Amino acid sequence: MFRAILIAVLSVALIGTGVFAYNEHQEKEALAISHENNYQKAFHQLAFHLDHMQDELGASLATNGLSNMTGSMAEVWRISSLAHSDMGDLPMGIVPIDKTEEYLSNVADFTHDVAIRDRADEPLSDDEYEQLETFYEQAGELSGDLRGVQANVLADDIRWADIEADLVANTDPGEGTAIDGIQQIDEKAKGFGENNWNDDTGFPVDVGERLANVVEDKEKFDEEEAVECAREFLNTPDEANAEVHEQGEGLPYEGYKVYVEDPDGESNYAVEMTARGGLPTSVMQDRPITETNISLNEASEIAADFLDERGFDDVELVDSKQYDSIGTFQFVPTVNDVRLYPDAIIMKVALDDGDVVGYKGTDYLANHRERHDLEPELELEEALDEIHENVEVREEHLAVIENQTGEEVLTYELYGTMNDDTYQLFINANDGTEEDVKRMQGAEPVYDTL
Amino acid sequence: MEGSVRYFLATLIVAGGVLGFATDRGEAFSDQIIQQGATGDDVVELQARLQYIGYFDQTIDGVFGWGTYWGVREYQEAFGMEVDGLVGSQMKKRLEKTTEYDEQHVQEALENAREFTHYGSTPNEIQKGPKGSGEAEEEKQAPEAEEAPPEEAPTDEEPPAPEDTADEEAPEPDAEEGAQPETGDEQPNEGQDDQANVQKAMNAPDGYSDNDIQIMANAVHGEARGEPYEGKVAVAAVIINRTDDPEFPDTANEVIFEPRAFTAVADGQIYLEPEEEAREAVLDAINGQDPSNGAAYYYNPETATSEWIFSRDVHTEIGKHVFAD
Repeated sequence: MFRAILIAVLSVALIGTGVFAYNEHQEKEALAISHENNYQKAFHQLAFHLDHMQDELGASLATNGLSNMTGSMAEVWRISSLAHSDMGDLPMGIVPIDKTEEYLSNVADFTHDVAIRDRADEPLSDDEYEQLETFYEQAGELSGDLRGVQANVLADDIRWADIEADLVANTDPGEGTAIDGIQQIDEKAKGFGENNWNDDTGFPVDVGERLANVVEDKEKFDEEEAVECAREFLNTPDEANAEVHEQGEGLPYEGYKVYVEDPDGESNYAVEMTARGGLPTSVMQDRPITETNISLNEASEIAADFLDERGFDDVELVDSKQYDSIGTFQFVPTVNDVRLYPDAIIMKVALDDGDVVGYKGTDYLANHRERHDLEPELELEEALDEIHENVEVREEHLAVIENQTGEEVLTYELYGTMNDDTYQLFINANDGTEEDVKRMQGAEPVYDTL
Repeated sequence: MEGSVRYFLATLIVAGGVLGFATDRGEAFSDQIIQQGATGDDVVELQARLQYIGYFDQTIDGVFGWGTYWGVREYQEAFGMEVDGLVGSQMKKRLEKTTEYDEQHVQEALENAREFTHYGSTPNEIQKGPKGSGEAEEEKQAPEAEEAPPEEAPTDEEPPAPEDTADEEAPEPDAEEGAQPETGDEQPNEGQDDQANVQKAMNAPDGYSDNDIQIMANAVHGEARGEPYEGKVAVAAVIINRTDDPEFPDTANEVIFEPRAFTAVADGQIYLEPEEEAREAVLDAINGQDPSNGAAYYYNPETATSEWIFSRDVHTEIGKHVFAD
């Protein structure tokens, strides 16, 4: 009797477990399929977009009218961005396929520049036309190869999730797989980089590189001297403990990182500096800051004094924001009332005791120099004529900014309002071009998520 | 009940106004000079008082943003003060003298996330939306309060104050105080309650919403828990560096959710609740700090599985992570 009951109970349990396991399995299958579908979608979209991009590039080579040209350029630009984004959806985080992505970026940058400029004034140069032809050929190669990989994926029912699992387990997916095909494509794209239309791919030169040029002839500080420099910059006593590390080889310039003890017994300051010239590029201190005892205005004075005492040229506060009990500030040097935005310095001040807890001066150190030609050719009135009539301009400055192509230009910086929104407009002070228009972000409401 | 109390109060105030009492109620400003970017109760009061006389027609949210800035400048211009957008003692005194601040009405509305306004000419009852974030459109202000602030009030004229405010409250531009430039030597009052009420707004760095920051903070927390603060900022900086790098997607979200880019995303740790420190690290990175010095990759040499990662040029080492390009 007892045995019969036991058998019955165990049988029920076994059947229950079976049902449960089957349901779990079903759910897992469904998830795996939906996961796989996302990968498949991204991959097929990528192949489609590359194909489509090549068609459009071809079309743009054949168009003759300015307006059609703009249309197809804008189209290539759009599709190349989409393809770039498709690549980001594939499990490639562990496979270096950066060359293909770089190629797509280059196409996007080039077509964007051509699409937005006024080609009645500046028609396509011969070099640029050649560049377009090159892009067209390269797109043809890439898309052809990718079509091949795609055919394999479809014919052999290759699952991206399997490839992903292989990659995570760090085994070589082997020849003939989709990843292998894509890596082959990437090898090919490597060769594309060498004949690019411009070396910096429309991307401003790295600020580290510029800083390296600035400091290359200065004398080299040893570790002792670096510590002294850091203490001096922080204004901490000589007996404050410090440790110093050399920065890695990957930096364009030799650098030190110095940790200095805070005499107030709070956590250490981390100071980064160049080894040549001992110029502090950044300071950070991390500690809990909960109280607010001083106003943002006072904190901005503290930050300004800090910079003044350390010999920074006349700086002006251009932006201040309070985040609970921290104040962040942006300062720019001014020369004859011209703001030099490329030389901006970021400061962070704790609002509990008014201590500086952050400083970032890399841009200042890399870019600050005497600039000539700070005289505008246009009068302010002429610049104001360039502004949309619905914008009411309320504040004007002169400012040097780095424009979208990475060149420094002298501009009128204008703040204006239109329907409750505030805009910052930069009008080129020599030719009246609208270099940049930004809508200033308002405060962020705290969403009630209860 | 509450309504009747408020009516009673309102009656008192009006009576006080008519009898010429100084109606200086509620908390007055603390001693700080209030400048653009500030947040807190002083800003709420400033916005409410400016709104009372029609110099501020946006939402009272406790953040001194651009709308508040222009309101302050217009006010300074109208009353012949130095137009610098800083709210110092002279301007605060004048505001306290010439405007009302119904702190209870404002703070309560903020606490309850009501939509509300604070115009001088309109009974508070009408200026209050329903609880919650005010989805129902209600008539919230009397028509005459909708006048835009004066475009350019000449200094020898009164600004258009709402018609039915008591005479005593109409600002007198040619008052005895001339435009003295701010001396800026005021001592702050330690007592300013800066515990932001949950329904207020906050600052966000240009180009990022608070939710963007939250997602990045989640990623940083998942990737760099237990790392020193500097290491957290460096991880956040790598995310931002990747968005500028042609080899990676162009937005922080795409960079973070790129399959297999970050282990914390792959194993779901990104969905853990981040600590405040992770948020702060993200803000620091957005504001330009970069302890990784321009790195696009980082790895833990103890656990890294990919041979390829070791071939990258090392920028710096922070905590357990190596940052490379």
